[in-house]
Amino acid sequence: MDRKIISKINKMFDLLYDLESKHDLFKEQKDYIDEFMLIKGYEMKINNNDKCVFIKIQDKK
Amino acid sequence: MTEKYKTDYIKGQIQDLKNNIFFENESRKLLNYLTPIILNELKPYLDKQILKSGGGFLKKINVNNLIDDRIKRFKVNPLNKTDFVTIRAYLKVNMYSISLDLSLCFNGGNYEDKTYYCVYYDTVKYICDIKGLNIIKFYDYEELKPLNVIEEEKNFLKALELKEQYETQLNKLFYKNKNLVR
Repeated sequence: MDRKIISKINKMFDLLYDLESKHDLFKEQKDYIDEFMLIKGYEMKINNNDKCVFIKIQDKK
Repeated sequence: MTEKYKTDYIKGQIQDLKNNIFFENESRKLLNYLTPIILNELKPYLDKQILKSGGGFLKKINVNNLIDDRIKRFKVNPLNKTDFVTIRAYLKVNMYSISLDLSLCFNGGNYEDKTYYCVYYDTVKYICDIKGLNIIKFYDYEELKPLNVIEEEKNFLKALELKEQYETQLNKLFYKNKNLVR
């Protein structure tokens, strides 16, 4: 997937992840991205800066 | 979404929110009342065996009876004037923790027979960690403050507005990049 788009998705997911802890109204959108990325072969991880990032499943070692 | 549908939807959501805050606050009151009593009863048993090997409390610490006794003296406000409230609370024990399970049933019926005219509210509060048969740690106890309806309603409307913005952004991101969805 295009790097620019991945970075956009990471940014949006990170915001939704934060908002979901405050209100469950955001659960649906967050789950949608999560599920979509999993289908595309990406898995969500929390990086050292406490941000959500998607990592290609076969790339993680 | 038509404007009328949207207004009705928001109205319904706000009514649900108000009811939930009411249930939450009643349940918080009860938790604030019961938790110190339970902690006080269990504190002498830190690092000591509290459970029987087959499960369940050792007979001499019958906390559930104490809870039943205290609940009789506690009054939960009904949602509507004509409702009556049934409370069920007990300490639940598993291999790792002891928690307080609380159910409030408003508007008639009883909690065994979950009938449609009842409104239920369930809460779980973790009291302590156990390992083997011993208590190893108590959770910090702090008094839960009641939620403010006006404040929560404001937060809800703000969240609803943000949700719409994110939906638009999601649509732009995913549907305008059709190769992503394929």
